[in-house]
Amino acid sequence: MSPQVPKPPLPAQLPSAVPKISSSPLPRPPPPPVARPSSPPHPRPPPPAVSKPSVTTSPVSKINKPMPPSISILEKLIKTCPVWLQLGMKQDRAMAILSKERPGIFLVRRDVTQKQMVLSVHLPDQQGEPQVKELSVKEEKSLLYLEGSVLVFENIFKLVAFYCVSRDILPFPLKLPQVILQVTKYEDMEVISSLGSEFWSSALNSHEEVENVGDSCGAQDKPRQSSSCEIQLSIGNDRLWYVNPIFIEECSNSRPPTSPTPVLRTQSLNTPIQAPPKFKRPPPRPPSAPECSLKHTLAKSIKGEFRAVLTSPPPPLQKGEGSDFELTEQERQGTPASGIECDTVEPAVLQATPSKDSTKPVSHRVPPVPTRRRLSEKQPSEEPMQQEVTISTSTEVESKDNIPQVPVAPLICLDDNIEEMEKPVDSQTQEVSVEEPQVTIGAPLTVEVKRPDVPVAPPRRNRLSQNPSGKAMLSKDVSTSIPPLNNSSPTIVRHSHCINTGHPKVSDVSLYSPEGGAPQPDHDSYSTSSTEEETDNMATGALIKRTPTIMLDRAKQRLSMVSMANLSNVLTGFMSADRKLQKRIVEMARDGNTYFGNLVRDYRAFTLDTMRKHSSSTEMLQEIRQMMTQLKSYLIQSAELQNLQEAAAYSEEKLEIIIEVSICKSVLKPLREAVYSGLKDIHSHAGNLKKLKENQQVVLGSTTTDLGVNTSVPETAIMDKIQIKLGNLHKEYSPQKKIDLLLKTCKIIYESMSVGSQGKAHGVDDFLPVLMYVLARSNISALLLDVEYMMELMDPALQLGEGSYYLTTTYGALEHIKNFDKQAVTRELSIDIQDSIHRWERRRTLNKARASRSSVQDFINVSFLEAGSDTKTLGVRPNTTAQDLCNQCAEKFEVLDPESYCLSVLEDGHYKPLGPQEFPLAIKSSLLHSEPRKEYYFVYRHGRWQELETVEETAPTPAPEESLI
Amino acid sequence: MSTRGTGRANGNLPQTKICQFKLVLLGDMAVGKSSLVLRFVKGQFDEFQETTIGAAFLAQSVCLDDTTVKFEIWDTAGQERYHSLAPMYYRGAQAAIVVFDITKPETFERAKAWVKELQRQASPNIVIALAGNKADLAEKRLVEYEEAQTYAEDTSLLFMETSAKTAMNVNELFLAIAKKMPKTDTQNPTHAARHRGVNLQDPDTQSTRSCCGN
Repeated sequence: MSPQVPKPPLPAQLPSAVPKISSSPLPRPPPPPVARPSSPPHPRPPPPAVSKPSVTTSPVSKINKPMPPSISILEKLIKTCPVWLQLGMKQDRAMAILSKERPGIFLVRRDVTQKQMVLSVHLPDQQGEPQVKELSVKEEKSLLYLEGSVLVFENIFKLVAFYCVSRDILPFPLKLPQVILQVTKYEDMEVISSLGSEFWSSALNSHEEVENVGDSCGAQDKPRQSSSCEIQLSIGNDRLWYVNPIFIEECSNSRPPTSPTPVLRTQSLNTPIQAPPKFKRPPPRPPSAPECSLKHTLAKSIKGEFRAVLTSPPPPLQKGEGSDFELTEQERQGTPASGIECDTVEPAVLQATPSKDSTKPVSHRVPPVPTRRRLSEKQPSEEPMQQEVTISTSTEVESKDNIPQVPVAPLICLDDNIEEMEKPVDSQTQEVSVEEPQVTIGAPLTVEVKRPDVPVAPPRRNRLSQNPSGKAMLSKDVSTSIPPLNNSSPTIVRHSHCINTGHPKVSDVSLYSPEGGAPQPDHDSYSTSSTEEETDNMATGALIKRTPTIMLDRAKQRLSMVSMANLSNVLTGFMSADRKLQKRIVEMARDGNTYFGNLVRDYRAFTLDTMRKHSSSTEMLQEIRQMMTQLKSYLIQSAELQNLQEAAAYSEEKLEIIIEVSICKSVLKPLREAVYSGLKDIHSHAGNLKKLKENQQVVLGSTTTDLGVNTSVPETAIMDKIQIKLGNLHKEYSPQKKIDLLLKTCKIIYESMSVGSQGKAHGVDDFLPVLMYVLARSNISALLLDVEYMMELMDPALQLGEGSYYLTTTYGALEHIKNFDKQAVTRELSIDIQDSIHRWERRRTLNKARASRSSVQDFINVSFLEAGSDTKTLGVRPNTTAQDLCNQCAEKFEVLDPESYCLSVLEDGHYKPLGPQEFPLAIKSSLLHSEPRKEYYFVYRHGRWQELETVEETAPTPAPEESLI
Repeated sequence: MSTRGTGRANGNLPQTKICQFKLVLLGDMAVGKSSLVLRFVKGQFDEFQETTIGAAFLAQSVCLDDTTVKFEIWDTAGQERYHSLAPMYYRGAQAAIVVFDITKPETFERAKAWVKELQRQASPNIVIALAGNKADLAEKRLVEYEEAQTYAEDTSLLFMETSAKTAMNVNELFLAIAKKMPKTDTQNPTHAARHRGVNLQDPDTQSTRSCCGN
């Protein structure tokens, strides 16, 4: 039957590579490639010479090209299932049949004892390995997957079809009997399938070697040269419907990218959501096959799925990444340009619950694409709403690892909203409010969870910004949940962010913890989420931000779907705790009665005081960042924080995230203006701004060719949008929020680059010139300061990742503009840049070195001559002695005769001179913590050091209460 | 059944150690840098792919035996005029892939220059891999395998001929790099980040998990 290549050649074994590999430094020869290229056993169809019974080999199959009416693998599988789907077959019979077949040939039967299907495959001869291997086909929620694999399929046909072209966990792809591979007519298939299990022993099933085996082997070397896309890969003479996304992106053109890649398992569960009845799918191809036989077989095992299979449209032949295709289709049809959310979302919500329980409808909508069992990052293309739902469902499957935070996210957003109420609402609010009611309509219907304490906040501008928990998924979730609005953008479908949450990358979530409290975490490496939302339609973002109730409802919805109603309270409590804690810390920072509040206040004063002294912007910013890091270190170990009930439940990592947000708010927000004006002064002084402006004109006068642009550039409307983003970026105080906006800007640029070449993935070779083009048309001076601000003040923990990458690239583009020269870039630039990098780098090490707890810097306010006069804030360390501090004072107050001054503490109306070896910080600390609280001042005034030797010996801590004057 | 241990990730992730590395891509324009990475990222290991806003920066995790290696892949502009920006990108990188086109000898020369620059200026422990891309165009080959191989051996590089088009050796290359990366905790550049990233068992996440786990 299967005159096939025994084993698909593997790319790694290409003549050019294999022999040489061994001599390479690799530890061992590379593992066999798993990629799709290996999938087609035959790059070309077997030659006609394979004389088969006339029925099967239609003349067309002799041609070496894909037949016009080629039948997809899936279809073939469906039509010929009586041959390979032998549910009633006993194991020994299957073994007997397969042992005569070529490797890769398979049967699916049912294991009666375990009540599950089993995939029996003939393996190539291997020592110690049984010739026929049996793999369990596990079933979960009506989804099937091969034991050991993470890919799930809605039915056995799709599963087998997938494994015919992609091996996944198999050693090689499955193979269909040659005659089935070659068949091109439905009638022929009918004949084949009519044989049922008799096929295997029939004449149709030829075991002869196909002559072109050698041919196909040889063809391996340059198998795909002719076809620029893998889309055209073929098995036998069959065109595959399975597509490699990469090439789709690279080769495909006008079609919206759709992803053929396996979809999350969860996806299929939700499917109904995504495809409400009103969205029509392409009409199914009329099955011309013997439906009855199929039904018969199917009915036995596949739980009514056959219907779906039969009616499902033919798998997308190629470029459409299957699942996406549907989505886009749906969006195209179902969502008006205005992006009225209720259209799509609401039905989804309504259907969501049923979908969870009854999975049957699901199959109808699912594209013939394998689904991923495990929650994963890459979620090709589903509608966010759907995904969210999915996630919850998948919980059962995946256990806790993955899912947990998903539901939380939206809740947190809510929180956030509240948190930020204070923020001014910008103009976009208007549009939003219009949409709001529509969205909410559906919500009440589904709300099952009572969460009385969930605050419902009024609309607000930066929804995620203050997200205390710093959960990355927040933003993702949010953004994804409102996709329909975005649909005008080509990239819509990117992924479901929420899913990421559950994934191993959860780690990243924390990795890239939010700094400004913004949705940043994701940005730093799996960015898009929030980026996406605003991309096209500002209203989208606005909607998200300003319609907390919607989020709430959705969240509830989600919760209820997971049947976690009882847990929702916990979640609510959890997230509001984040917010509360964050708020508490901000309050504490403002409270002059707390040590931390004093520290923050002193720190701000100190910064303002010293800021002007820096001649280098980098140094200035680094000092600020360092202080922030120190404040964070201080707080995290301080009793004040530990005394906060809200903080008790948090891990240190999480605390750091929350504290970072709070500190940004309490420190950077008030300092922002001063920092910018300091930066501006420094750069103006150095002539950088002037140079930049001048060269900006040069760049503006250059053609896109001069700039090296090979793609589309943003048109005017898009440029306006970008300007708005950059303008907002400038106004923002939080480095992380700025970075988020920068990423959004970059995303808009990417999108505009893809105009006319949709699907092409642009690397930095393409991106950088366009970025320069854009920046040259922006407020470049502001951006220069912004970039520096972000680079230096961002949480050092976030330095890897996407945010950092685009920051670097933006910086590079600015430097490039600053030194723009149509001829060539001089080496001078390189030196400049390297110098700057060096400084940046220095900060990294600097921060690391100084942030250790022992060296937290503190401050003491010292008045000159009398309490409250000419008070300066001086930085001190725990081991700074009064003598040291006096020296600082002498310098600060510019006294001419330092010997005649000393440091005293004014307390209860008494001046108490310090001993030279006392530690002022310890004294301050004890005073601060004394009960009842006392007024005290450190005063630098005329006097002599306290001479008492004893003072030096007794620890200064309890503080000399007996005043000596 | 067969691919375990070769980089395929199969669950068990929470128990594994996660190492994060910055990997920089260098090479002339049009040698296929981006395609190579896209192939890697969008190919087999898509379950660990992370969403990014564009293809200039990509992130991808691969699973080794007990470690999840996460690559943060920084693409650099290949045009000569942007050469001076490169240090910003390779600064702090723990791995680099220098790509050339086997049909264009000048790109091989450029690759050698990159290697030299990396060895001189990048982190001392940087793992450098040399990729002779477009191996599918073997009939137009102008850079002999042996030549590149010899060069790679002399300069202690990983070397593979790859094809972004056919996926030949693409995953292998990244896996080889992943295996060469130091897996100790201290190797991570940002301690805080790594620390946060690794601790998947921290109580907070756990609590959320259990909520949703029901």
